[in-house]
Amino acid sequence: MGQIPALGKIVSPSHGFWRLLEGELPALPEEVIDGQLKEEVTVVWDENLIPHIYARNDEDLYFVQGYITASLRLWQMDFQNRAATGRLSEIVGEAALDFDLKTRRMGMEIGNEKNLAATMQVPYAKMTYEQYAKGVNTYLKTLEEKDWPLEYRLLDMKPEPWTVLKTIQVANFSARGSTAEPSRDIAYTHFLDAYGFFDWNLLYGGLDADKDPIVNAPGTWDFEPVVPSNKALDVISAKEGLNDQKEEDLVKGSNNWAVSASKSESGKALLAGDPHIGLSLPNMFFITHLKSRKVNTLGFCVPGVPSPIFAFNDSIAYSGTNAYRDLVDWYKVKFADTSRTRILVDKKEIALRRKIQEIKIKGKESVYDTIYYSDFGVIANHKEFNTENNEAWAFRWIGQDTSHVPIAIIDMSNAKNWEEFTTANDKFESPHINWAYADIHGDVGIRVAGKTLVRQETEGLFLRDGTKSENIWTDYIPIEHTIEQFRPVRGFVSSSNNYPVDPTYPYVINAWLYETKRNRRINQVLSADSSITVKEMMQLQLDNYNLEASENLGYFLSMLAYEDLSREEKAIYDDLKTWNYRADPELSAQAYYKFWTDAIQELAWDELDVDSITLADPSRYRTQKLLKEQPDLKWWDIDSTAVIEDAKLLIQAAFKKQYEEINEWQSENPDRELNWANVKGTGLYHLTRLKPLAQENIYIGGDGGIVNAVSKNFGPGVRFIVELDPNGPKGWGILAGGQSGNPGSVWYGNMTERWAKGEYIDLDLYYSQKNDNPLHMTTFKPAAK
Amino acid sequence: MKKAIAFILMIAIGFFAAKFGPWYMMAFAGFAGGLILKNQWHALLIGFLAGFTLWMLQIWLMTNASESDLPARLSSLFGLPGETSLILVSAVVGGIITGFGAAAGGSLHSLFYNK
Repeated sequence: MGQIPALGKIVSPSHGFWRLLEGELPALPEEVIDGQLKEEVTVVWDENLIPHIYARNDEDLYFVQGYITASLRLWQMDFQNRAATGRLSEIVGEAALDFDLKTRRMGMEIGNEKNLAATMQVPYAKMTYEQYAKGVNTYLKTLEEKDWPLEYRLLDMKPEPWTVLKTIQVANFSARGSTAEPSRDIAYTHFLDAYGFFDWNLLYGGLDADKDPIVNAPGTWDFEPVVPSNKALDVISAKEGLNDQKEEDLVKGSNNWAVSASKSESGKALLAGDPHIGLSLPNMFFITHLKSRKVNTLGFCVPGVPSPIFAFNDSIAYSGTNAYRDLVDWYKVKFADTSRTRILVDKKEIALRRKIQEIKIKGKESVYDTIYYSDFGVIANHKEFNTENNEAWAFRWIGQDTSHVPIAIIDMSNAKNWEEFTTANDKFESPHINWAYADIHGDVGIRVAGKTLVRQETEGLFLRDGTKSENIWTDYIPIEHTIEQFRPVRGFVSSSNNYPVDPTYPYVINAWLYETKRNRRINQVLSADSSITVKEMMQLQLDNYNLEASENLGYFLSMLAYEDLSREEKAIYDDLKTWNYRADPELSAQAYYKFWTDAIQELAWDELDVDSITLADPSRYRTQKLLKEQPDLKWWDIDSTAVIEDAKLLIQAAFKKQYEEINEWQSENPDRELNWANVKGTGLYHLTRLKPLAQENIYIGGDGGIVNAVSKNFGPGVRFIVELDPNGPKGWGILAGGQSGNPGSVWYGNMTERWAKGEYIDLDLYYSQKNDNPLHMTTFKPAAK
Repeated sequence: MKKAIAFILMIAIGFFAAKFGPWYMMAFAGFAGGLILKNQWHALLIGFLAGFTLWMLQIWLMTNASESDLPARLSSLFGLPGETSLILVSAVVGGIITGFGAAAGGSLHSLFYNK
């Protein structure tokens, strides 16, 4: 009975979740009066619940943006911030402790402090972020406990006031997934310890740098490159510990491309962007149109951050994809003595800045974690701490450096031409992004932006010596040497997390993995078409063509002996043989192909599937290339069998495994048709991972490595196209999910079906001029004096 | 007659008190209505019925006006078979809270009455 009162609060019609049920119209105010406003601001909500904010000055603009973003996405902003700062244990308890420890040991805190200081030095940026925070907090003050978003009740959390620092923390958080987590330093060193450099080079070296880089302009790099200083490249063994989770081979990325006026049917430049994100509810982005005398931009904002990340205004459009580079190093450092307050560098003692982190845990005592800051990065109390030799590991990452992203995103959204865009974009230092650009003059461009180290061959790919000062990060590629291209001869630009540049670019490119398929498919399609339409741009975003299968399936099938197959296996063979290589939702062949090639990957690298140490599988591209070119490699042997397999036997074994797994799927899902959409089971999951709040089993094609890169829970959660009409750019876009973060709203997931079908909604920069009957209007008025 | 008055009183107080005060004003509404009833068992029953009816009615109106499938999602989260059962459980909780308040009111009444 003691639980009845607690339950009463949740299920009461006056205070419980029932209040969050929304009708056809979301619970939006008609009028907000606040003394902090200077002039009247009108928010026009269009039929897709996109807010078009019309302000007369920029102070009011960002204030209102903060207010309305919070009114639809408050819990998400709050939760993302707590994730970004290693505070999830406060909400969910001990289960999140490892995540929080890892977050804090990455040293993002140092980067955030630097970014905050840099942002506050620029008056316009300072104003933007302060006004936004004020807007959020003004909304918070109006919010009674009985109207708190559902998740606060489910997780027993309380909303917290917003700050500029919180915005910076959320903005910087994205760098973690794109530059820190793909790091393979630990895995590569373990591999090197076990198998040596020859095998490392065979399996991972050379980066699958195929002949289709982002910028292919041989001989145009006419500058004197910075020569890397001579650093010790001796690799430190990983045998004494240091492990990380096993890395996946999948390149998590995005697509973007832009077509110049000369190549488009309408004679206007076109731009397409589809950032690949965790398919979540609410969506990672919130579409917002900001309009004042100075600003007129419509784009995809991260809740908690005022300016859009991907956007268009009345002159330009831009979108980004992750640009992978090695921006992480692990160093082995040596303490001067057991007090662990100083490290030895060039045999001299260097004092460390120490910080004790308190991690609060729901229902338990706090955990305290000591972190040291050094020139080699963050030294944390890892369990692999080598106490005998008084050594430890230091983690250096670009996210610990100053990045002017908060300033860059404001200036980019207000840029009018390539020159203004690049000047603004130069400040986007981390994470590294390939920016595609198009403008109303019909021009397009692309740049691989981000603060990048000058490296020697293989430098930083393995664990490094942290007792020599020469190994400290000092040399960065000058901003004028950025990889970029404006007005390309071929009339279009594109990027898909692929290799950045042709071999004449005079700097070493070190990274872990590059996309090899989406980029080539996009370039194939764009090259073949001399008058591209908006419709064709959309079709290309939705393209399900499996380039990998088109190149390798014939070879795989030729390795099977048809006459030896069972009747059911023959049916699969025949299905694959006649397949058009499209990962369409209704086809079964893509499911067979996926299971088969996943099995090839698994059986090929069975040696690397070890629990005790971290290792990484080579890419699918590399695996399939090696199978074809070197069919007798020792790696093809499957350890668990008595025979010694070659490529052919491995591929046959994988086919059997595929057949078993398909049967298993069918017996687990007896009522469901065996087709790609059902087997893949794409779903949008709520950030809490609570299954009932998800949208599951979405009928959609595509997969990782395919332009329409929708996998089970990752992919183009946002798609948009812009036509850069000089009389006013036109935009189309879509979100997986919807604009509202309230699971009790119809706008929570109302766009998902259209997203899955490949439909687009209007992104209208001139909405209020054409529509006098919007979904809803909210007027913000200054308090009467 | 007193029972009907108590019933209406509880619903009226419960409706307004919870609108402006905290959610547990339902117990207060039960208590206030219970004060005019002699028998605490009758009070408990009337309180339960009043709380159940009020919450049922309010929730029914809210779900009818809504297009959202949240009740179905939450019933699955709470391990209930469906939306209707979630509405019933909520109304029963409202009934219990009001009923207990009413029983307390009834006991207080009988305490003074019997002296």
